[in-house]
Amino acid sequence: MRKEIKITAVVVLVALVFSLLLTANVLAQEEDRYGGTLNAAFQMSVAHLDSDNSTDSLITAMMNHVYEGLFEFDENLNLTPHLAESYQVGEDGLVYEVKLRENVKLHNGQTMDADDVIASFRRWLELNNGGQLVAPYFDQVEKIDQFNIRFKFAEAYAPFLNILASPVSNQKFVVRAEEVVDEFGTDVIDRHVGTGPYKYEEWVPDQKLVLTRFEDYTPSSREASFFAGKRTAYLDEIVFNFIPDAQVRVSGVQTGQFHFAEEVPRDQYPLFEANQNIDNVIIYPDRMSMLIYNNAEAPFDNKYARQAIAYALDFEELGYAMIGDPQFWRLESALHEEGNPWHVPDAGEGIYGVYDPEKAKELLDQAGYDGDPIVILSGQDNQMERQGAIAIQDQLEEIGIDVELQLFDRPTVVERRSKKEGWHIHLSPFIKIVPDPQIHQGWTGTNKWISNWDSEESREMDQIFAEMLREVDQEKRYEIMERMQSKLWDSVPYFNILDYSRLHIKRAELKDFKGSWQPFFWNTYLE
Amino acid sequence: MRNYIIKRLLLLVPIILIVAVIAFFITNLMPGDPVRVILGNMATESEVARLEQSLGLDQPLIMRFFRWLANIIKGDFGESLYLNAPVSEVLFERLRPTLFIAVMAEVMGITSGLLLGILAAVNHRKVLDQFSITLSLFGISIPSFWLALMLMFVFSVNLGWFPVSGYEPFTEAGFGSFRYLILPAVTLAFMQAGLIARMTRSAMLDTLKQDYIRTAKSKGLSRKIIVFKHALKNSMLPVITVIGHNFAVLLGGTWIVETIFVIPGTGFMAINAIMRRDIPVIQASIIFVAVIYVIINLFVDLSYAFLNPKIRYH
Repeated sequence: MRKEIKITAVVVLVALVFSLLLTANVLAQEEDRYGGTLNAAFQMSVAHLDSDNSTDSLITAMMNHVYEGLFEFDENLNLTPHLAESYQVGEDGLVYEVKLRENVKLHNGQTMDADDVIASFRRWLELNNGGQLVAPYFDQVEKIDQFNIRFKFAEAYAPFLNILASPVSNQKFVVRAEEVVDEFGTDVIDRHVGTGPYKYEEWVPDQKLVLTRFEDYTPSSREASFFAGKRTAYLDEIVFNFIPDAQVRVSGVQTGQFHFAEEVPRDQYPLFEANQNIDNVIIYPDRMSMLIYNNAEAPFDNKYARQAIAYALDFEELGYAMIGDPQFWRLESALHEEGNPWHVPDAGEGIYGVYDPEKAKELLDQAGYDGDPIVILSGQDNQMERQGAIAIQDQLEEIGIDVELQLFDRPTVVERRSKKEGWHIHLSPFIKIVPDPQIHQGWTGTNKWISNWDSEESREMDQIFAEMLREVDQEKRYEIMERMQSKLWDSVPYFNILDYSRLHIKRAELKDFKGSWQPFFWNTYLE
Repeated sequence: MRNYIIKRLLLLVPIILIVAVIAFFITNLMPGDPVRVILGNMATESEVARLEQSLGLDQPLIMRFFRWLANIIKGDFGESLYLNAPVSEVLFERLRPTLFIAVMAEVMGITSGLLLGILAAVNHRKVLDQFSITLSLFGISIPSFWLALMLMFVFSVNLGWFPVSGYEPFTEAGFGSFRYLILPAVTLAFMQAGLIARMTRSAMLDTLKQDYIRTAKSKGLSRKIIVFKHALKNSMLPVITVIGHNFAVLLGGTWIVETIFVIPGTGFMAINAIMRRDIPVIQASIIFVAVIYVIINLFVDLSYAFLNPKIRYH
């Protein structure tokens, strides 16, 4: 008996020592992850870092490390409370009560509270493109107590929470320190105090942005998933370098000077595959190639002419011309990708991808097209835009349409397409991740964005969006989305030719990197 | 001589004025809207109007011109539309890396170009001459953007001797900052060396045929003295002209090289400004290059008198 006790004691002791060693090993491994400077190479620079004062989404992509939202999207685009602890929506959709997480530290050492959120929200409402969508329906924001806030609407605005976390064109609402909001007002902020895992250190325009770890960061207790949940800052420092030349970004990753490079030439994919120090990162969903009509100019002021172009184009051939390797593109008629809760699987049935030049000619006749040249306005710096425009010109000329191709640099394209005349078709890349169908309202409807669409059909579309705006029931909103997609493919003020992915690369020593629609570097570490 | 210098300096004023007028109207009349570039893709018309107003771009062109002219006479080039800082401040900040690269390239180009040219001339129609001609032909013909990428591929990617891009100021990195500047400088020096070598060779060949060289030889002077003391100095006039004119071309070359190697100099600034239609920065860049060009030409002209005492300016 005593011997058995002894054996049991020894076994227990060994197990205890073993588990202690294991725990120590895990902790040591976790500890090993900390440290290092990550150098990332981005293609474009930005004018400043104030997301409320620009629609350039690169600002949010970088400043997501510094600022956080009340809500963030996870990997499956589920809206998740982040700086918010919980929330309640009134039955009529007019009141949203948000409870904030307590003990969240700002980079100035103070605790984030309702005053910071309210000050940031008011600025967002006034300046931000997303805030301006919300403002016409909004009534007021009230402080219930230090960590509870009430948002009140004058009219129901169903997409409110999704827009607060939207990654589109800097629409996302982020929490800034109240003192900074008071100091800068509507001016561009150049002193950045947020709650994120990294804090602002240095900004050299056109050269680099340096962020350093925020030691007092208070992570969310939720499971980490893309932008939502727990964020751990393993890296001491993150340097975003702005490198316009793609080949230099590639060379930088090859030599180890950069650990990540955004948007590199897709035709070099096999080279990167063969290099054991480099990992390819292909993001799907990423971009969609959008053909936009000038709906104010004949012949495209007539929906039959617009439909005709969809029938006249061989989308698959366009895919090869625009992007090349089919692993980087896929045909997709819906505005939301497969897996997105708003995806409509049968969108554009009967017209999308139906290559029928004869039908196209019939429709053009029906529209009364008189043979005047069609002007395609496109960018010359981006492969998709340039190659796409040339391929569309070829295909349209095959059915007897006289096409004038106008390829310009970006500033010229941006200026020309903003005019009501002088162009008929414009090709533009759109970000595919759109977390709420209401966001399409920004470019879909009467005289929205550049489409110059002003007709009975556009007003019907406005009605659909107005319905969607008021409807707070998710299922009913989806039904409205189906109607919207159906209407869109019937009236075709613009259409999605295909979805495509950009190619990013990273060094193999950068571990646990998650490829998302906007690159982020928390929860990743350098081995 | 003094009067000549004063006259030339005074001539700077109308030249710069003409350049300024051209720069203003070209930049304002070229297509592309800076406001829409700043605001991004989804900017609304009200946002565009608000920014146009705050930047003063809603004013008539002619009013903007006179206001701008009055300001640049005071030395105020306005504010960068994109960088939210005074243009003169931005230009001054970016000048240092550009000057570093330009001077390094010029020194490398002159040294190697002269050496190659002299070697070619004194070894006329021999292997060294052929080698020098071929090398200088490469220097003239190879586009700098291609050469820059090739140098990067060999010396940064394969050998790992230099970083592929970036810049650290001398005040922060000391001599370490040269690591970033060597490849850009070599790229620019290659073209310079090619031109200087060809010009030195042909000028030297002409000079070496002169009677005084024959006299020097018959006097029994050493070859070294004949080449370096008699022939070289007398061949320098056309070479100096090429060096001077090409320094201005070299400043243009920095626009490409700085963009490839991401050196935050005036060239990189100017290219970015053009891409974004940052009009005040483009205007200042044009005026800056024009001023440099005129000043260098003045120095070239003055150096003629130094090299050939027979030349006198009135």
